Amino acid sequence: MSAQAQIADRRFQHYVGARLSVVYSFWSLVLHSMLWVLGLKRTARYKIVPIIVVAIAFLPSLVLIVVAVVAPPGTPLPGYAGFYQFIIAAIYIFVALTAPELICPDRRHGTLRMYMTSNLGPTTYVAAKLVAVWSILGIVTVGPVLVEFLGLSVVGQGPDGLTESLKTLGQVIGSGLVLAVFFGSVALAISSLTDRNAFASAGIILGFILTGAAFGILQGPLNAPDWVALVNVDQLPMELVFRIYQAASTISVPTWEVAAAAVAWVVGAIGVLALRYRSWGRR
Amino acid sequence: MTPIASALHVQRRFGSVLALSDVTFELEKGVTGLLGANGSGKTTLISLLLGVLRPQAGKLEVLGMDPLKAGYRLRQRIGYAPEDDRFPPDVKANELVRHFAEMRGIPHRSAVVRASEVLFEVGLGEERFRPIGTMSTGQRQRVKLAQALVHDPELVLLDEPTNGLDPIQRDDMLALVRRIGTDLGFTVLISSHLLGEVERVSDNIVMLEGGKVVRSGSVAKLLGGDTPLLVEVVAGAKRLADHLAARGFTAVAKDDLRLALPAAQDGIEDAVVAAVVELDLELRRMERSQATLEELFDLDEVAAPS
Repeated sequence: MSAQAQIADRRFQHYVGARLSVVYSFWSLVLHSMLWVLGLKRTARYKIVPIIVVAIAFLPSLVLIVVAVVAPPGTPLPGYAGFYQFIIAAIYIFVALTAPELICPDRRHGTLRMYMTSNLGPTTYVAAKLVAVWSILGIVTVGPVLVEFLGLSVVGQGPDGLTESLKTLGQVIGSGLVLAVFFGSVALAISSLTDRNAFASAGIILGFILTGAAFGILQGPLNAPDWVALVNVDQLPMELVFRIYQAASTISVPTWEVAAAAVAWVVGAIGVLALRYRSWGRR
Repeated sequence: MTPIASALHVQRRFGSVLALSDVTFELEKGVTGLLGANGSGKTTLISLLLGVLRPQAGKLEVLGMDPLKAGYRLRQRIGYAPEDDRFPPDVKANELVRHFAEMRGIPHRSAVVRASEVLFEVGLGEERFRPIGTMSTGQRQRVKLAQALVHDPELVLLDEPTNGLDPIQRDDMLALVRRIGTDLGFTVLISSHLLGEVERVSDNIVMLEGGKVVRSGSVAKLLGGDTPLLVEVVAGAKRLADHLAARGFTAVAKDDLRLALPAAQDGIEDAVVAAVVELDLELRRMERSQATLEELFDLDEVAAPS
């Protein structure tokens, strides 16, 4: 036997270490939820779709940078606000994919009851899922525009000067977060109405696209007033993005009203979530 | 000795259904069987102990705390395995157990180590890296047990852990529950609708019927030192029971071949022999042996019908 040999006691040991609080479990659930949605630490088939959707969302920014390099000087390129039209479909698909996956399986598999008997309660559980969905959506709402901004700056077609660059960076991050918070909250609220991912995904896609189409008709042929855009979940967040970039607006409604309407939608969505999960409170 | 948990006149109603009524008991260290038919209030009682449900009357105390007021400080000291075992199928067992350790406040690095240790302890050493969806029902029940133990709780609540198991898996699971209550020193409350199961693994028993505690106490005490007289005849046990009952003895015919008679009945052996001769029956066996809880409860019901 060597001098370094040791007898290891491999029997079950009682735990004597630290027991951390709600805050630790909260962030642990946020991280777990994000990895779960992206298919990390899961089998390969759960990774494929998120990777494809994220790639689709980033592709236009890469194309735009290439165009900026090869196109003759003076060729007009779409602005940061206008760039969203190229990736909005990918954002919708990503929203419809991620939000249901964040909360439906917990109810379907019975793990929700386990969370409710852990450090977390209904409020902290819902809050963790909201932070997770906002963070995940940030990948496609902030990421591609950030890549565009950085790419254009590198090839010399970005904003002029440090002040302007920092301002644009703030607009890029701010508008991306606005979209992530808006779409994430509304989509999570829709997902909370069912245990089935497919129904929730369909509800989200129909909710965004059909309301967009319906309000398009209202505001177009039927000449509905501009404030109608404030209840259009398809148009409202993009309108707020235009205001953040100080780009040309499509409706003549004051910015504070647009912002207030967006906040109202987010608060309403959180209210739906609270109602759906209140039965897990201490009844 | 301070009980691990106690209930005093606890009541819980769901709409017009009275799920628990005037429930009073004390939960001591060791393994306690929570016995009752489906719908008798077992899961409701477990939910109350976890603080997930609020009692409408009475007082509950778990580990010296009020489950409703203590919040996560109590919940991270309780291990809970629900009746349901529909865990996400594509998650590996060690990942799930680690995650729920973190949800109970165990730091990440310790959670990783403990997940492996506890899965090894419940007999899933080699299988701990397998996705749960590829596991048998018995293995999934063990994963469920592992996640209830991983944070080293002071009280483990197991809601019907033998559900869906075949007889061999059931025996293994009961042996495992007994071992975590004795060798590993956990205090366990195991719910079941099978008296035999509870009797095998439990030191104490709380029996629910229609939302009420109908019996509680130590299994050893309930079994007592009494050894009832068990009589087996070729046929006619029911006639023999009636005959003995007419002479003031308590006897329960289990079928037409066997009957059990509570101990502490003076002259019972002589009375049985006389009755067998009088009824012209063929006596096959007469002996005193340790009764099961089921036999005792049967006898109690005959002796003192409610």
